[in-house]
Amino acid sequence: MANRVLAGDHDTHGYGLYVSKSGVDVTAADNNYFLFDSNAAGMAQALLWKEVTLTSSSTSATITYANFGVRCYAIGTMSWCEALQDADDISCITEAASTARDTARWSAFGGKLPAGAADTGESVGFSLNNVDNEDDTGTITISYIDPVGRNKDICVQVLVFKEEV
Amino acid sequence: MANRVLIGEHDTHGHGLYVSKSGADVTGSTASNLSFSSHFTDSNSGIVSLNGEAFNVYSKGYTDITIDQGDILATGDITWNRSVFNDGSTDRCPLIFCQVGKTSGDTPTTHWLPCILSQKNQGGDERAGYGYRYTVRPYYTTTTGLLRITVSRGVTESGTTNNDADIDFRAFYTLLYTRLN
Repeated sequence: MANRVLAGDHDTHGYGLYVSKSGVDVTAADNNYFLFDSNAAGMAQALLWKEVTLTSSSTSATITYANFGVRCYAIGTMSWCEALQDADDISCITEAASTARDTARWSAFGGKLPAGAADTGESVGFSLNNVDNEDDTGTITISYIDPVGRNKDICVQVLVFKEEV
Repeated sequence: MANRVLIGEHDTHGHGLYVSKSGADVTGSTASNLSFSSHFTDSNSGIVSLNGEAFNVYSKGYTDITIDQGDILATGDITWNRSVFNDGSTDRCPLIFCQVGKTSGDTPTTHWLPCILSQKNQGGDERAGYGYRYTVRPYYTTTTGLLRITVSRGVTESGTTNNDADIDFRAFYTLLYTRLN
């Protein structure tokens, strides 16, 4: 069985904490196979993954979060409505066990996929604005984009992770 | 040389695992000097903190998708057991990453970014573009969630279907334990 965890002086990488993936000896020189490497310039760590709802009458939302004074990235995905659906139908946060709700879905881009050459999609979307408040918090503003006036609810899932520098 | 790793009780942040960035002493009180901390908390209203969790992988793999001659779209499905993401009372939605390679093989040399798959040609006209998109349906059936990957090679500006030969794609995916709140 390979050595997997090293806390101390690594022959190649010096003092630190190192964890290798299954089957790889952590004492080897190649750090491409490290799951954890204390010599990395930074380590991405997830801070939150939160869903907000936007509607034609509530077109923006804000999320204020602890960013610990370091640079954080925000990535958004969205859920969208078809036909008479509303936010309750498409929200992805949770569902009772053994209860199906196939209208709940998220994607990197919203909208109905065109099924053929003549099919249409939906044209709603969102934007994210992530601001460092310089007080160990950040604020993300999520804005509703509806250029053709479809007036459909959307849910936006915002993933935030920190990347120390 | 600065202390870089602390396993145990930190004077400011309490018990845990801490790693400082190069040149910074891990025993210091400044959180921004830490490249890794097991003590991230967030008391802001409406925030359910992930506390700095790693992107821990539940499952990963790939599926091959073929667009037949004359077609512009094809889909591939991946399912998972919803009970994996049950928090004790309700099922939850997992974070999923997905990427599509242009050709088959263990290590396709070309990976795309997701494409919006909806190009406007002229007034009121929306068409599929070249690329892929994935949609996650966490509560698709009573027992399973669904990852549906759609690949497209687009249509011409006039809207006629693409009549090129079959083309194969390989879609890689990763299901993470990270859950939506």
